[in-house]
Amino acid sequence: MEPLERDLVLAAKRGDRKAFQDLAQRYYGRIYRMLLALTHREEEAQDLAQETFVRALQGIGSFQMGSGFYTWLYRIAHNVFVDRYRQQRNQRETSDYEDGRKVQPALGAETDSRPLEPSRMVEAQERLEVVRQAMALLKPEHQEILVLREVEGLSYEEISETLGLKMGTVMSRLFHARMRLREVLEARLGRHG
Amino acid sequence: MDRRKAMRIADGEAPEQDLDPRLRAEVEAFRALSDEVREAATPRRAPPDFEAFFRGVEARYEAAREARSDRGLARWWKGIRERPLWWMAPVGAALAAAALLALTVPGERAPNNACFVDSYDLDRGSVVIDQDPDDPSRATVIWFLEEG
Repeated sequence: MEPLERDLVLAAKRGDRKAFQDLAQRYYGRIYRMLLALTHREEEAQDLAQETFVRALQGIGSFQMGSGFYTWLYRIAHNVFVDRYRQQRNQRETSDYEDGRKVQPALGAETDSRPLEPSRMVEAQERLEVVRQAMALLKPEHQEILVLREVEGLSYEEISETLGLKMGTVMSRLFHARMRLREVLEARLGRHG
Repeated sequence: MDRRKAMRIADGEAPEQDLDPRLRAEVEAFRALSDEVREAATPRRAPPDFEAFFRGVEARYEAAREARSDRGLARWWKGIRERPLWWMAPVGAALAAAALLALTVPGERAPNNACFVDSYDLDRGSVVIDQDPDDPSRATVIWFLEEG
């Protein structure tokens, strides 16, 4: 932790709201973008990001100085995201039960796996849209680990610390997330690469 | 195993030197996939205005704090009104302590045959328990990664 950040964290732990605000300003963009990449909805990402900082403000007093502040924040954001996902899944299951419809597999996911028409595959933007859709079909834990690795650029060790997983589990989960993504892309595009 | 190694090389988590030519295509495929995911998943829009964002955080924090405080007070007052036998509290505490003591004193226990398998980290390297949670029919592979 750099000296300035350390001072800010120490002050925030003592109840200095301005210090906490300065810390929040450093990281809110990254937290917001990570949550936006997971939820695909700006309003929801902002809501979850605010909830992340509310929980951080509530818990800053018990923050252990030995760990990284951003890692701690990411862990809170992860918990907030998982809580919301479970809440939405429970609501969906209840309403699906009432409606007699099938439960959807993931947050914001579509289940249509039909290959796209060839004419739609050529444009790069459309291809990226296909990748976005394919990611939305992955399980939340697979989406999350891909976002942490590819969007946030975290190393295996940082992901391990952030998600509280063993290094081997990080490698295994990342590998299966990518294999699953490849499978979905192959199904949608007919091939990948 | 080779594919997993290719992934770690592509991620910069394993050395690329002496790369088996057969693995090179796999490494490149992982890199291409990473580039696509990065481009597709990185939000292009700027985050919301920070001042407004943080005002929202503070408002929610204060609201939660007030709600907690109100709930605590209400619970305490309700308890006093509904349970006038508050002097029974020490008896309850004594019973709870006795129950705790009974639970912590070692005794005859049923054997726990539950099995939990997870990867684990060593001082140098990792033992990877590689399972595909989507497909239980696939074999679980246990392997040791020497690199740290």
